[in-house]
Amino acid sequence: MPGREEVVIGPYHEYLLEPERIRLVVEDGMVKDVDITLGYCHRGIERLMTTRTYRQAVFLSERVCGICSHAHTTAYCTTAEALLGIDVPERGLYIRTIVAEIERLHSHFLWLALLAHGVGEHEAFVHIMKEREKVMDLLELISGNRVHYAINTVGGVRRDITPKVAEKILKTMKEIRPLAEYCVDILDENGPVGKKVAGLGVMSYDEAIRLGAVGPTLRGSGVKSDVRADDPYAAYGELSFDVVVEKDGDVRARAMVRARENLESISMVEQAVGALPSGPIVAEMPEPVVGEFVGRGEAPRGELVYYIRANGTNRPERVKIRTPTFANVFTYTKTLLGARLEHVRPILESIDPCYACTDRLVLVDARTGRERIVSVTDLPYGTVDGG
Amino acid sequence: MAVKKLRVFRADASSCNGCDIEVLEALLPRFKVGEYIELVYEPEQAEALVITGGANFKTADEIRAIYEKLREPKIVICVGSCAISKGIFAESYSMRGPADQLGIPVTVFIGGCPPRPQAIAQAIASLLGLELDTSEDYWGVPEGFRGLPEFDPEKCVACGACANTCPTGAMSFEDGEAERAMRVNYGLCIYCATCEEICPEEGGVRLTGEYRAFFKGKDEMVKGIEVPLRKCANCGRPFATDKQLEACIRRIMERSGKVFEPLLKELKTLMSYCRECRHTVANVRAGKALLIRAALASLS
Repeated sequence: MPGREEVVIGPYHEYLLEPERIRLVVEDGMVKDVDITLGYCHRGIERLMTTRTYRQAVFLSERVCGICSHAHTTAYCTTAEALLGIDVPERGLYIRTIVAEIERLHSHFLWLALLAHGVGEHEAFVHIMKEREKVMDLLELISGNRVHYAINTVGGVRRDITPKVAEKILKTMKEIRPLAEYCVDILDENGPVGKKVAGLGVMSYDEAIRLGAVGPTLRGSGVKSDVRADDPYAAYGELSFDVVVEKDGDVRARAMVRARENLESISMVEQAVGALPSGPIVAEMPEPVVGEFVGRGEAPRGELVYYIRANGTNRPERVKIRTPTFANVFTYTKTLLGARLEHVRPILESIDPCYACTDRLVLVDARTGRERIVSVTDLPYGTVDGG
Repeated sequence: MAVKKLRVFRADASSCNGCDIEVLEALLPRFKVGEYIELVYEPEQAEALVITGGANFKTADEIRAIYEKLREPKIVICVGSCAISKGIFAESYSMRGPADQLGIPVTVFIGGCPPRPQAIAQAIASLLGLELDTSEDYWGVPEGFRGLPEFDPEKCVACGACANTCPTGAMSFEDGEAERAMRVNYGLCIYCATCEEICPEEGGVRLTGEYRAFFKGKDEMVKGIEVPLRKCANCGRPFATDKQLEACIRRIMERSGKVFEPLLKELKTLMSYCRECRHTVANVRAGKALLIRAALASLS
């Protein structure tokens, strides 16, 4: 067929921060079909977690993802605490929330910077990355590491926020507010980044729901859904914030959701630091139990689901993780179709894909024993959100 | 002045993404080496390869193929605990790495989980023979930074609690003839500070503020101390360290000193036997007698 070609992106490619293979069928510069092969980051985390104690497994859940590590430990710990019947001290919950929102800031800023870079706005990229270092330094001060904060544990948190650190948090929040506003400005319809990504990769309200999208990808299509508001965990029930929703359903809308969420996060951190209760930060581990529990949390990329089954020992018998990118990656089957090839990059980036999170899906053929990684087209629809 | 840039190909071999972001951040102007580095996206154009992650069943072949395509001098930089030793994923069924076991000769290992961009920048600078000005505040570490763990030869009693609780097995101990070797492997460590938290001696092992962990070979990554072992007073087999037994007695005396003060000699005798010898009929009897006397003393 004239003009018909196949474009393979990856596993190592300029567009991709992480290894993944995306096959596009392109006709006259338009994407006609898309196929995604996952598995380059599969590390067997769920299996490994069953060989560790509840508290040791926190460090594994943290290493599901190097960007939203705290969201993973929070969801894991929240689930494990509910399962084991632990009453977490208030102060622990507040510290957890503060770190979670600061993490959301760094994650969203990083993504907005990468989007700017992807559309050739190098100046914006450098500016956001430079200012974002303030957030990274703050996380390092609070937790002792820039990426894996190791601050959550089953029963609370491992490190307290001293008055000196609390003061520094408030100071940094004040300092980065202009950056958050800057991000909103550049994404304006006439802003340098906004005008380049407006109208790309459109997904309607109904499609977003049908494809099982979560988080900013879902909210960018006008669906008001946020675990922090719908099913409050940690200290979210005591903070006031708006669930940011954009109507357009394009790349710009998804970006704008994140940019405006930054402002909400700054206000949430300020509220939580101001209302930090006194008292202990961690509870003792109880006796082992038998049972199972499904818990969830709102990671920077969307709803994150953890399932833990306990068998009466000090180790979980089964842990299942459904990450937000795994839910969102299926939206490519809608957003990429009909897109111009030059627009593929911002569309790929618009769900803020995190393949390190997603790659826990291996099918083993029972007859031959051969492992194979599922591609999107192999999956029946029913399994899309089967957490 | 135009500088010749080192062309680098970045290969994420199943990492969690943490190291990748930190590698990219190390190239920001703030860390001063970015101008000497050019990221390329074809291995054929690159002279250096940055590997993160422990390489699973899919990426293992990919990174080997990438290494083959590199230009001379084929510099390989392994960033993070996973790239060095598979880190916390060492026992996973899906991991095939790390890079050096896939037959890729590694020029330098940068330890950390993940290493700070400051560390990555300094490692790159020393590879390129650059002098970095590290006088700004951010090259130092904030209070409470989780750097390389170190044993305190004064405080550590070699009880092994850190080895039992370490999620990766980076902390370990091994008994020799006369000494117990406490070891920490910086290539496996994920710097979570569980060892520091669990240490009953408060500071027997501590996470220092040192973040520069650059290694040429894997034997450089293991550090530790030797603590003398005590031989069993009965059978002569080494069974625990002197310091650990002293610490046990000290703790007993701190908590119930009044009761055990007159019984100290018997207590010490009983504790000089190894586990097996303590469980002989005579010694179990002696132990019970000791506890009964202690219980009576506490009543009066």
